[in-house]
Amino acid sequence: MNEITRSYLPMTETAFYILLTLQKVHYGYGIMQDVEKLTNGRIKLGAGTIYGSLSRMEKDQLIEVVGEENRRKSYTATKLGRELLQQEIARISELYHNAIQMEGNNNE
Amino acid sequence: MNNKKVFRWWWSWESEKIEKWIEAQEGQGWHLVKVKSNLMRFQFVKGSPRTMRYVFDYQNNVDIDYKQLYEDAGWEQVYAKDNWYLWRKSYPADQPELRPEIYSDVDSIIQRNNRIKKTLITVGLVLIPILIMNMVVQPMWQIRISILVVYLLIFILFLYGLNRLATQNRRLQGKSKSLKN
Repeated sequence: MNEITRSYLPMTETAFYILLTLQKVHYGYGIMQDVEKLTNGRIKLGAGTIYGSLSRMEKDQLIEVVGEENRRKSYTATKLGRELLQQEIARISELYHNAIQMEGNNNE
Repeated sequence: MNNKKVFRWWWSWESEKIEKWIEAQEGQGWHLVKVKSNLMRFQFVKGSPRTMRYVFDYQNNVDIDYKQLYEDAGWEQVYAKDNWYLWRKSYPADQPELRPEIYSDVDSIIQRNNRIKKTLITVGLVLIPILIMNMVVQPMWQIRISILVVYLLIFILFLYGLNRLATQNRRLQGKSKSLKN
């Protein structure tokens, strides 16, 4: 793994949710809607944030353009992007399991 | 009077001040209809008060889906020239928490500031050979001194702007780290 890809870990919520939704093919606004729904409105990604993140992640080859229709590019995660997402999910799972375990200890 | 033109001078590192000023005008029923002269001249028409978020964006070389993405997200483009964009979107007056943003995280604001910084540095560097040329060509020392003073003032202003943007970024970076690690 090189410097660029390592800079994504640990991941920002923006990068995490973009990669998560791009397991399927999506265009920019679709990602915004999906993320808002997934987080029950907690995360409303701004248009500028999505635009910048998609350009940067495409340049870093975490995602790729798979189509273009009516001036809307659609994206999907690359193999590298999916690998990074799996690593981040493993890290979050560890956080989650440790939190549950320690909470359990405190309640005893 | 149901029409007014206002000239406002502002610097690229204080765009938020102008955003809030236009929003206040809209709140008083002055609808922004046109922006000219490198985002300095604002033309308003009187109407009913609106709650309208205005936001400036600075982008280098946007691709075709930039405008579409913002429009999909409900933004209307008011101005687009020389890498500067002005967007607006209305929101309910009684729900200030719904005031929309184009940047929803700290990193994208830092990156926007870095783009503005890069432009300031580029323009500043281009000014140096022009300054030297002027000095060489100009035979009268009085004029040479005046040119030098003007350039010095411009450089001080640019350095001030760069410093303002860098300070804002440092503050934001602190915030970003505490969220991430």
